[in-house]
Amino acid sequence: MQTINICDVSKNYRDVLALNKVNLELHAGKIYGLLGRNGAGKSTLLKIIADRIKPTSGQILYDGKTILDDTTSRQLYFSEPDKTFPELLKVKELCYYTSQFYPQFNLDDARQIIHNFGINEKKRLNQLSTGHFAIVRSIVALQTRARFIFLDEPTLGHDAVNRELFYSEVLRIYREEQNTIVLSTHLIDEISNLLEDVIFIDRGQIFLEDNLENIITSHFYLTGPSEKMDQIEKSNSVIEKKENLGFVSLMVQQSSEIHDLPDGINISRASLQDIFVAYSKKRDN
Amino acid sequence: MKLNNQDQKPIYLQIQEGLENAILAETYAEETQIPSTTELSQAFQINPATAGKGVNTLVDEGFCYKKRGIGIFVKKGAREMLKNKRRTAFKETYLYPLIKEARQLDISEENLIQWIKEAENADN
Repeated sequence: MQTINICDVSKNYRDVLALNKVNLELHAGKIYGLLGRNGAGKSTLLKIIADRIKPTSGQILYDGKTILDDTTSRQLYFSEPDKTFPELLKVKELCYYTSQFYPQFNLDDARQIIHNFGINEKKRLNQLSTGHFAIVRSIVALQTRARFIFLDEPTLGHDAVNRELFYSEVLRIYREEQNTIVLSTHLIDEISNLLEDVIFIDRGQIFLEDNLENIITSHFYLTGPSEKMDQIEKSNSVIEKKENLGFVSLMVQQSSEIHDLPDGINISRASLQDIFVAYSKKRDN
Repeated sequence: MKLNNQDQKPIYLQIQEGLENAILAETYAEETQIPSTTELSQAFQINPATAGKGVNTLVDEGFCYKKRGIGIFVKKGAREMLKNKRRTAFKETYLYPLIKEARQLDISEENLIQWIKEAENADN
């Protein structure tokens, strides 16, 4: 599978509009970050892509086809935080059964990694702590080595050490498989180093989708005394404006480097999280 | 070489500058190989595309070259070229902010020059 196209997908839960005409194209061989606040529609979108639930309208195309057949579904794996596995299953049984459906699954490798995280593979899934369950399901997901892997909130409940171990595991599998890994999370700055492309979602709509570096290099903070900032505010695309003690700080979107700033105006960079927050607030107004 | 997540500089630029510094310090001498994209991705836990962008900029700017199937090497003369590049940027990056701060604090030009001389002597 090379591409997944999400075409005009909407989803209603009774009178709640969870997704509103979402269009997106996912390509082979990239790590994507699907970033949004709680309730933004991340999980709904992933569930629809993985064919767990049906959209109210619109469709998903897997290499142009609407149907997820047997061959294609083995190229796609979706891991969600909800406990969807039989809870009496042992960790090593989960590995084994998953390996029966995903031929690339490396059982020895998976068991070694789970061991490295300090988890006993003989334990049943309902005996695991939230953090350990999150690790097991994420390791199993990565180990399918499917062409497209979707990890919904993979680090929910991980401690800081395990999160780092997990991130290096994501990169290892990606280096080995050159597959597509979609990480959905609200912990934005923490995973930004892993990402190649970023998808920002808010209230059921994708409002920004681009290469991470393009986003980072095209947003700046400009800060200076109020009277000097008026002109700048007029001549730039402003995402966020903060006023403080006679100083104004603007987040501007500008694709080229900004030169020839008047004296007394400072320029600084914004982090991915800053940019996300600024856009979200702008949409709130 | 070290990456800093608090530094708002994009990671690929930090990679590029880190490698430049290592070439200037002759950690990677001319005509020797620099780390691969995979190695950088592994060492710093970053997306290989980001590491690749940092490395490729060095190739594009002519400090390094690709040996097909082997890796990226430091070009002969790269160190001198890098010094020239950094010299060009020196005023903008270091001198102007220094003068700006000095002006703000009413530090005279003579005073500044004297301090620079003192600092250089202390360093030797």
